[in-house]
Amino acid sequence: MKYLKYLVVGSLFGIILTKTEMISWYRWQELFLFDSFRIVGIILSAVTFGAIGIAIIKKLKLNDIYGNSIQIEPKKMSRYRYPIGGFIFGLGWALVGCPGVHYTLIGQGVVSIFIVLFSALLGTFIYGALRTRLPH
Amino acid sequence: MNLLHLLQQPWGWLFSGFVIALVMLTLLFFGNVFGLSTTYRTICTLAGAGKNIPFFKMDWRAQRWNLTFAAGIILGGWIAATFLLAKNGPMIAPATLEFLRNNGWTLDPASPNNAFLPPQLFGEEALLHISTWLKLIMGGILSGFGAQYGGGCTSGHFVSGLSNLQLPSLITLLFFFVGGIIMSNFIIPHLF
Repeated sequence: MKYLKYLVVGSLFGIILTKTEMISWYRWQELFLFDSFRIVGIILSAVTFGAIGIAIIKKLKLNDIYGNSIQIEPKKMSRYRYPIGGFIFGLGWALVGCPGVHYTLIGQGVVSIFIVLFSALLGTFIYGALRTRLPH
Repeated sequence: MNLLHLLQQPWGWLFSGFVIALVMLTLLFFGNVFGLSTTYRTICTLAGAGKNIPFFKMDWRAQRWNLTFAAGIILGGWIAATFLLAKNGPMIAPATLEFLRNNGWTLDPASPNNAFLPPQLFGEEALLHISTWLKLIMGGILSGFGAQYGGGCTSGHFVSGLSNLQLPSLITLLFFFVGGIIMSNFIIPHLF
């Protein structure tokens, strides 16, 4: 039962990614060709509401449902990994999307996404294997 | 009936962002941080990558919630595609469609309901061409590698990280845009 809630919220997120049209390849092209404000608007909206929510959590020192204080461990500052990683991730995102999109499209029976998913896992593996040799 | 009809309507960007933020905040109240690229790392660990590579020597049990969440996304994708699609699909900007058509992409006349993806790249018939495989594999590797190197993907950096006002996430977002702009403007036009 502990995990049921994740299945429910995950399902909602799959519905959300579909209904917001974040899974549309054409929407990604619109974004990067500067032909539509939609995805920029969605990110701005999510971050604005998200930031308000997190500010309230911090201000009121709210706890999670298990009574532990809610903490988001900040990402460590680093010189190379965010620019290079972000750039490479952007290249891939514009062509085949991101993890959330892959899972949603698998649910929609898109066979070719399995190739994308396995390749993304391969990319993950390559990073893990090369990690100590890459500048971070 | 009316509720179903309401859910089938397209969503505006402001509401879209709001519900995405709600998912992130809900996970915080469950004691977890929203970030899906970790599931890729976890799956590699489950496949045995941790035997030789320290990066994959992680406690996958601590990520069981995330794998369940991902399974939920698959289920939600099916629910949405089966019951909740709008009658008329995404109205893509004409300029985008024209740009793609002028560069060898054969697109559907309109962009109808189920066509979230171009058949030329994601359709089952396209898989008969080895070049399609190469394009999908290239994209997948870039997406998977980049998300791990950058320390997060769309959910982890651009929703969780930015909402928590983290500078690394902003840097990642800026360079993410540079990569995306190069792919869409200068590489995708030459793929077909």
